[in-house]
Amino acid sequence: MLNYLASLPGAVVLGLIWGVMALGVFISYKILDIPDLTVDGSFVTGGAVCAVVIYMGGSFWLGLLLGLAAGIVSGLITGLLHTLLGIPAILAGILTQLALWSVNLKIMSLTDLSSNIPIPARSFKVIFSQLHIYDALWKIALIVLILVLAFYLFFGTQLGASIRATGNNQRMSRAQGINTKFNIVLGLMLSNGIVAFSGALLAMYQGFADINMGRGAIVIGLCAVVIGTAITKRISPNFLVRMVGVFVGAVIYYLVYQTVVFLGFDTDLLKMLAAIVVALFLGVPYVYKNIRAYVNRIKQNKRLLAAGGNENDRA
Amino acid sequence: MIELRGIVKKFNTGSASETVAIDHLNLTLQEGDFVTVIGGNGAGKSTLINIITGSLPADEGLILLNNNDVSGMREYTRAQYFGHVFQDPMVGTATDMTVIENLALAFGRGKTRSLFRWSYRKSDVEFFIKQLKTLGLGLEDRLYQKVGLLSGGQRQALTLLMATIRSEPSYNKIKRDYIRFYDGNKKEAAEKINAIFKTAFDEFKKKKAELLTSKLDKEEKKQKLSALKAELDHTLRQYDVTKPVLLLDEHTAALDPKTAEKVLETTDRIVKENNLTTIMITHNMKDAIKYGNRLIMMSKGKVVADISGEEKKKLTIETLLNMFVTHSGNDMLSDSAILGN
Repeated sequence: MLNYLASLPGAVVLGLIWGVMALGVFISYKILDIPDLTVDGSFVTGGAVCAVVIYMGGSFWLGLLLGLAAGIVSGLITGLLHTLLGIPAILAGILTQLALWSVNLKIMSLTDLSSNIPIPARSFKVIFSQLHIYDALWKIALIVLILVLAFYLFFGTQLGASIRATGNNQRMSRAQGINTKFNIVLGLMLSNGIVAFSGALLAMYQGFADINMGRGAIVIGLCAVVIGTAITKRISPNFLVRMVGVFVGAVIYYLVYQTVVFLGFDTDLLKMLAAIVVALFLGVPYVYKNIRAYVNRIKQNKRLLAAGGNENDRA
Repeated sequence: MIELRGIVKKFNTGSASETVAIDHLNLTLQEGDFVTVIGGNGAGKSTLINIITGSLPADEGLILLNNNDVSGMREYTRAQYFGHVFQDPMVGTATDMTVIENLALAFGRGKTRSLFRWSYRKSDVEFFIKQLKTLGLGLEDRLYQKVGLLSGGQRQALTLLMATIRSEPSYNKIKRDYIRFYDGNKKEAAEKINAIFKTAFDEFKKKKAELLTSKLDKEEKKQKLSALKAELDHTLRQYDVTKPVLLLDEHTAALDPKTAEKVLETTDRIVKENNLTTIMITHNMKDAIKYGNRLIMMSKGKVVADISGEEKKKLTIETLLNMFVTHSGNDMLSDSAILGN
């Protein structure tokens, strides 16, 4: 039990790191209304670039910066595939994601290693690591705070508002003189940029970057987004609250994750669990709505039938 | 002035189901014309508006604004010269954004969406409230509510407002548009407008210098200076050649009759107040006769009747019906067109 309690701060840190990634998913999925699958690849790209820079003796600041830049480029590619070549957004994301697999391997092979780059905090200088969890906790909390504020301010500017409008209603946006294609590309660049940034943070925190670290990232991100949405929906439609909700969702995800691991749940099944959670959160409200409409209709029909009978009696 | 010359639009080109939606259509609207358009289903009315705004590319033909072709311009660039209100109330607004955010989006039409400006400022809010009050729907009290919570009629009224408001263009934009829409040599236009602006500014500077050296007290100087500025502004704005052309695509068709009437009255008022050039598609013959100074009947992608002035004022539903039957046959008629809802 003590072991379990001791593991909770770590779960919170992991939740916040993945929350940064989920914020990227929030931007593409909720704001742009595009389920962007690039993130499975760009998350690794961020981690790989950062780890390679640090492994080769660069500072972690440079690693973070280049990781971010690599993510932005991945987003740009998906965006151009979608807007310039007219490839459906989901497919464009899958294509970039697949290509990034090779790119990531090549990035990692810039060192004398491949597919896994260890950057343990004992031998390298990193921003934070799981060896000092409380140090990591306040640092990631600060990063989250800065990111949330920055994006809140950004989406309040003319440019940010026009991106929100693009995701909300493209026809209206064009009729109001908004370059929707540009905005979609820009939004995907932003989204993948911070997803890669999150990958870089995770690589440092866990002490290595691995070619497989992004597998199912989109599902974890969606998990955080849908849990966050479910919680904040009843509180406030405010944009700031919704963004904070994403982080709350990510932390809840990791707390649950830690708990089921502690309870002896087969870790092979964890990805399936994540997929089921997303399916339930997205599917249940839909089914519930349909059932309620059906029940209402039956009730109403009964009432109408009864009323019709009475009128006939009077006639 | 807007002119359509030889517009052709086909759908499913090259296949067995090829249809000609617009067939070598020519149409000229003078500044301030308010044209109502009627026609049966498939006459090409909506296609026409979508071609003007650029939502659909025309296969052939020119779209001339002040004698300058804009058909190559992208939809979002063209949007600064047009205000578009759609048939479906869901299309014209961003439902997840607030009333004020929607207005702010429309207010920024034709300007760069800046990263360094808030989407709306305090000074804009007052203007928006004033504008919303003219609609008489109480929207001014719901500024910070999401548009998704509004009724269809409220949304159409809001879209109408969004299509017609615009922020005062900058002096640079006035110059740019003057050159873009100059009927003749562009170089000549640039020289001309630059000279005009220079003279105006020189005049202003001279008067300002005179004023500052004069022996008036501070308060008086301040007043006179702002009057001078206003005069300069007025002089320069005379050269603003672009007022948005309003395009209404059956914008009251999805509303109940009472709301539809209210939205139509608002439309008429806004058009008259701003002397806007307007194209209004309607399926309601009564409205087509009641509003506007000109009526056009379309059939099979062509203009088959064009009635304006005194003749338009004398129009009755009966004469219109007869014309309808001659041009498009009985099958084109729907009950709502005859009965007016």
